[in-house]
Amino acid sequence: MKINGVSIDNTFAEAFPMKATRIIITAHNLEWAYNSATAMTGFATSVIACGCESSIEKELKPSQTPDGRPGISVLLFTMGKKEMIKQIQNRVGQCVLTSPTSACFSGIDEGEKVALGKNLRYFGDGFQIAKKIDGVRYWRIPAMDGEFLVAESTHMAKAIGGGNFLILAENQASALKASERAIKAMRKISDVIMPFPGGAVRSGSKVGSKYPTLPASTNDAFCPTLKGQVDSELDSSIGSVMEIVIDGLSQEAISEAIRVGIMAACSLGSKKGVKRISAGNYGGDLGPYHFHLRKILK
Amino acid sequence: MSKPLTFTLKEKLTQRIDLSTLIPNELEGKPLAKIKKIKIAVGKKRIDVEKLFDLDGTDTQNIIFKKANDQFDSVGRNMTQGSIEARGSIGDRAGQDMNGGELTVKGNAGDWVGIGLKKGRIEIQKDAGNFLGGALPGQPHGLRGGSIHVFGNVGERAGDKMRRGMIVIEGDAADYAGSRMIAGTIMICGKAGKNTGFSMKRGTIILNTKPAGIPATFNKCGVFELAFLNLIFNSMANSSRRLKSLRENSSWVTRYAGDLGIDGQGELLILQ
Repeated sequence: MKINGVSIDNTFAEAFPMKATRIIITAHNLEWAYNSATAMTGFATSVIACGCESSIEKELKPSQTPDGRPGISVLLFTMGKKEMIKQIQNRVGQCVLTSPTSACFSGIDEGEKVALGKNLRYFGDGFQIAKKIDGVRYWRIPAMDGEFLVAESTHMAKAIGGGNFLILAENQASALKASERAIKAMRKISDVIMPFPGGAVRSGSKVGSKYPTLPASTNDAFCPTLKGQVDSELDSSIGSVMEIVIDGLSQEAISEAIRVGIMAACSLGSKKGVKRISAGNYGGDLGPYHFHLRKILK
Repeated sequence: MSKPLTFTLKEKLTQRIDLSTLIPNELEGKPLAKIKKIKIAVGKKRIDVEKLFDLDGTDTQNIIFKKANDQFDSVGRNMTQGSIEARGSIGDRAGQDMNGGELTVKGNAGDWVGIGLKKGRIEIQKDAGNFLGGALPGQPHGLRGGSIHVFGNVGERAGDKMRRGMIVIEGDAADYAGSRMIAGTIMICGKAGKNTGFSMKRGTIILNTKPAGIPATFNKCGVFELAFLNLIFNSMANSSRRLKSLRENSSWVTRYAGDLGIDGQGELLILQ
């Protein structure tokens, strides 16, 4: 299979179950909503060492937010409930509560209820006020700029992490340009995030390492500078590889993100350096979710 | 779909009647023949329903009282499901201890509407009397949950000892609105009388204009824009045209905290 001269490997991405929540942050204007959301989703590229994977999903118009102010929706993924509760509390407490003019709401109804503002209310030192509106409890926490409004709870839904595809290009510049195009297109898809910096990851990993303490290490089969040294997946036409990792609320959302991302990457074409699209998996026995590239692109 | 169970008053009443047994949860599953024989308290007498009312329809979960008047007491009392509509005015204690369902009164209602309401909705399309959503003497709390919406004016002590839930008054409220309030929200779209929020412990009273008198033990905190008001106005917008227009308001308010006479942490929010 080829798209615009770019060959599509007959392979699949292997993904895993995760838990996810959606948080809506509003503020006086979009700039301040971004300030809060950017802080909240910082250092959240991978559960390996960040505790969660989190990123901005999309901008919200005033008509789309509970309090009628400009907002941002954020998706946050963890491996389990305990970490979810901890990550929400720490990130919202340190990055949203602290951010001027912010308010914070749940953006998801499905799944188990987990604390959002429930414990943050104690920051109000007894001056906090509860309000139940249309069956949802909110906390108004007095703060120096006025009041921080936060929903008491959000929900933790079943989700999927680790959907991916690889862009194999002639050189780093082509790989980067293709990645940028892919990310730009994928950011229009709801229910997914690409948690790595700028949405792309340069350091795709493999399971295991020669160092006993390391659970993962560089994916040497896809490292172009090691083509002559290892059992490489790359031929002479490939000078750089970038990976795009997708976490999403459903298989359908991830499939659609993969589809639009690959189509956008391929729009550059083989003549402009994009040679091949592949995906990462562990043989298919570890992760229950498989995203077959050729099936998605048919 | 079966017709609502309709009770039409036969003759003018000489005494007040207690309609607390004619509620959907009590009538569910009962045949019409049995319903007709239910005893209604009329003064110290007990009289069969069929002697007071003509009955029509069979849907016990949707009850209508026709030719309702202010001698109809305890309409919807202890209701937990379904709906009751009173076409006309009713007397006292409507919706007392309600725990679900909807009560609609097309006319006025007397005193003690919604005392002990825990869940459900009460709508009074004209005026209501004193102690709306309040507490009977000796009771620790008034309204516990649910909502009461009055399209007209209310008497004194609306929301007395209220402990959560929402009261919306589109008209005026007489003196002592929100007295001894423990929690919850009262919205007064018209004028409010003297001593609004008297002895308030917690809770919020939202006012369209400054009341005739704020207790001296309330302190002004300043003028603020409060985001949660947008949520409340959005929630109310579908209830009536007047409330829909509130959404056009900004969410700037003057905040008064009190009642400091009892270390209270309630608030009066006066819309700017």
